Amino acid sequence: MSDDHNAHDALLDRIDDAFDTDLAPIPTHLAAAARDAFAWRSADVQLAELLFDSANDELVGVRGATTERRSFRFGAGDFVIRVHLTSSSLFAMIEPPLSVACRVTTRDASVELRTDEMGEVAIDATEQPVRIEVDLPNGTVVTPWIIG
Amino acid sequence: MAADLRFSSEQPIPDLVAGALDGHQAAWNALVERLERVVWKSVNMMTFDREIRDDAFAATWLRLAERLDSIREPEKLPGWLATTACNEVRQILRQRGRQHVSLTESWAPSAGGAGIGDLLDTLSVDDGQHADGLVADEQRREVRSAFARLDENCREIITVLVLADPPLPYDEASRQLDRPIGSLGPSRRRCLEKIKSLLDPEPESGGA
Repeated sequence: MSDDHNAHDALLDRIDDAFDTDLAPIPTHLAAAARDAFAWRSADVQLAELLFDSANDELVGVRGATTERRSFRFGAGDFVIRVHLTSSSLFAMIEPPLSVACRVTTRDASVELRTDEMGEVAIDATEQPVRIEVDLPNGTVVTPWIIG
Repeated sequence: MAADLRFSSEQPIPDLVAGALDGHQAAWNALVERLERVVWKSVNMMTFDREIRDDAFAATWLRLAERLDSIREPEKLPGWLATTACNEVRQILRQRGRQHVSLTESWAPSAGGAGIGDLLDTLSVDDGQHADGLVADEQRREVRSAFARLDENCREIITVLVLADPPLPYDEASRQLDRPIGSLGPSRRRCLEKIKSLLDPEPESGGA
């Protein structure tokens, strides 16, 4: 038993060493991206909770080699934010329906929008990562970054 | 831009997290400097696909930034980052339907970064010491190649076990990896037995 355990610890060390010793240096642009990520922190904005991501749905995931559409559901207090992404568009819907200001943000740009009375808004597809900030009655809520 | 000398990567992680929560970019930079290798190693262990590796690395820092105020035990951040990095790789692999890529590339001669180019560089200045070095290089390459042939679950579990410092207790690993706590010990054993069999297909019989 304990021999096995020791052998396994030794094997873990060996795996660690195999990757550690030859680890390539972190590319400069990636180290910079890690530092820049801080600027995207929204300190006073509540993070919506991911309730559903179609990419985590096993059926879609397994056969998802050509997934053309990805759907999300986020919870924010009494509201739900639904997001549908396709290769050509981004569609968001607030439930229960409400016309509110919102922003679709990527690394390089942020677009000011407003949902209609049905709580819906649609724009052309953006680059990813992308996230949506919604000014709900109880405060602004932002979705986690959507990364595809 | 004057350097902010209040923060350095030598400081305890909880102090750096607190500084970042107060809005200090310098504290965040120190945090990145301190922990970027954990994230980088995690994504390199999870995939050989450069694009996915790079995207997952960047994504992990976006996740930390958006969740910083919900980190309850900052001293355990290395384990959190390793787990998050693994999850991001899996998410991107699933989303792009490219599970096969990491497997394919693991068979290529240049898998894992120390490729044929590095080998030639070494050969050109060959002497006795370098011959020993080559054997060690080759052994590490074999380990990486065997590791890449493990399934995603095994790669993730082992990566988190290797990189979580301090080690994650099973209850926490269970929560972060979203697996039943009773499965972790057996999974660890199964995954390590699997890589052992890949590394030594015909174990020597006589014993030591």
